Amino acid sequence: MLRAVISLAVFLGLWTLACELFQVPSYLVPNPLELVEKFWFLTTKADLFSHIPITVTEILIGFVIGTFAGVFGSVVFFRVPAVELLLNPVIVFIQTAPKIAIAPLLLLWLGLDMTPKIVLVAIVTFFPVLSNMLSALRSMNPEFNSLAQILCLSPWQRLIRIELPQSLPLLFAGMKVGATLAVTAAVIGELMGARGGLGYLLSLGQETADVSMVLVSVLLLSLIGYLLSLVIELIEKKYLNWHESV
Amino acid sequence: MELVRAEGITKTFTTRSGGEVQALSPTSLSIQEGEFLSLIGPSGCGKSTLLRILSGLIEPSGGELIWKDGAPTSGSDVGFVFQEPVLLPWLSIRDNVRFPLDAFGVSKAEGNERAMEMLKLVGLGDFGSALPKELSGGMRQRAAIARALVYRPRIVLMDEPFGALDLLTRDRMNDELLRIKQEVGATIVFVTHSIEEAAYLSDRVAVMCARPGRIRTIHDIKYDVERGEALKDNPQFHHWLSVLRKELK
Repeated sequence: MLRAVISLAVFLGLWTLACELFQVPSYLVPNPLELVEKFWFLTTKADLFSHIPITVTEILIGFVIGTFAGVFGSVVFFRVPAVELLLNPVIVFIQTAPKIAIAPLLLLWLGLDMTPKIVLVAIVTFFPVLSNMLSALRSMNPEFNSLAQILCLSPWQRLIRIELPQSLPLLFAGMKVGATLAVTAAVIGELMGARGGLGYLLSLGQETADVSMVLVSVLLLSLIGYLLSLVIELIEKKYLNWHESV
Repeated sequence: MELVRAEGITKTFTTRSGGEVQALSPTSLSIQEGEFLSLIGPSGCGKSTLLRILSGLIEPSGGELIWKDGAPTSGSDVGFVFQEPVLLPWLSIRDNVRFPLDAFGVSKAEGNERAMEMLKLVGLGDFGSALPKELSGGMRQRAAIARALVYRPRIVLMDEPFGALDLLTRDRMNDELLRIKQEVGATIVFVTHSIEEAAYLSDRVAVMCARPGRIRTIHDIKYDVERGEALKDNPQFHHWLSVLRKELK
């Protein structure tokens, strides 16, 4: 944490110094102080704090839905091979396609509110979670299966007591990938059409050639992404202390 | 009293290229209640296959198992100790030992009590809250034995349980196993490829040979002295070692 603060301070210092030294005009690259001013202005005059919750809500709801859907999907695929046989080609096709490209479709179908962004976030989260969970379930220690067989565990007991806990490390890895994609997806959705949110501020800043506004939005988005991965890591530390890697 | 009898058990595996390999030619074996029976033989003699058929993990291709009180119907009839401990890494040692009891619907309070009792018996009383990764190989295997004994199965099957341990630890584990067996009085079938281990631990040793896998002879191992460290210097022990060694050649 301390290291993060120090490196941030050094970075900001160099930035200010460079702006002063090379006399960069502030309409191209504002210095940090001007950004703080902008942040203050947006907060007091332009209701910045009504935009942050919109983006955060989209990311969180979409991320949770996508994660649960991914876990559920992987279990169904794993347990019912027929479903996998049927759906796998479609999944592979969608997985290789740039999922961001369906954003315009979602906006056309679902309007300009939060719904299309939530759906987009859920979709981009779903795939890494699904594929990580599937490989976790498939790489089960075969002796765990023997143990389950010796103890005559029901399929449900197997899932809850062995398969899901054993999959946790890969699930968290998938969630981390999903989290970065989730932030991107929310912003893309908002850029393409929204009435609020940080992506909306981004495009507003672009249209009015307001570099500070763009930068404030970008910084806030990075912060959201960072906090999200921090939360995942905290949960991981708490529940994965048994794993060799911890 | 006979606990279970294997009657003409065979096992044939199909290889990937479609050929057939006979892992076990017709084999009959009677297992007595409360005895310690070892299956010993070179690799490929079908000793693990026979053990896994007894456990119900694999189906025999032919023949049948006749149980004294009917075939096992629930998981609590058979205990199995694998070559690796196969502990669930996310559960504490105590929770690992309690794991079968949880699955059988025993209350958590009673399960904890029985698990701790069993851990004390295998000498891990102070390690209940440790994670498997914090324990040495020998301690993990002891926990695995505790897990197999905690629900008092009718038969405990052990598949080279000490094969992955170093020699010193292995000797210690053999002594532990003798003591544990005396205290619980379980029926144990023990697969090993160590002649010493078989002669030291067993009431009976079934010598198996390969191609095709079968039981060659069964010896009753009896000593005039108590089993323990001193036995290893006893001429009777060395007699059995040489008998078994010759037969395995």
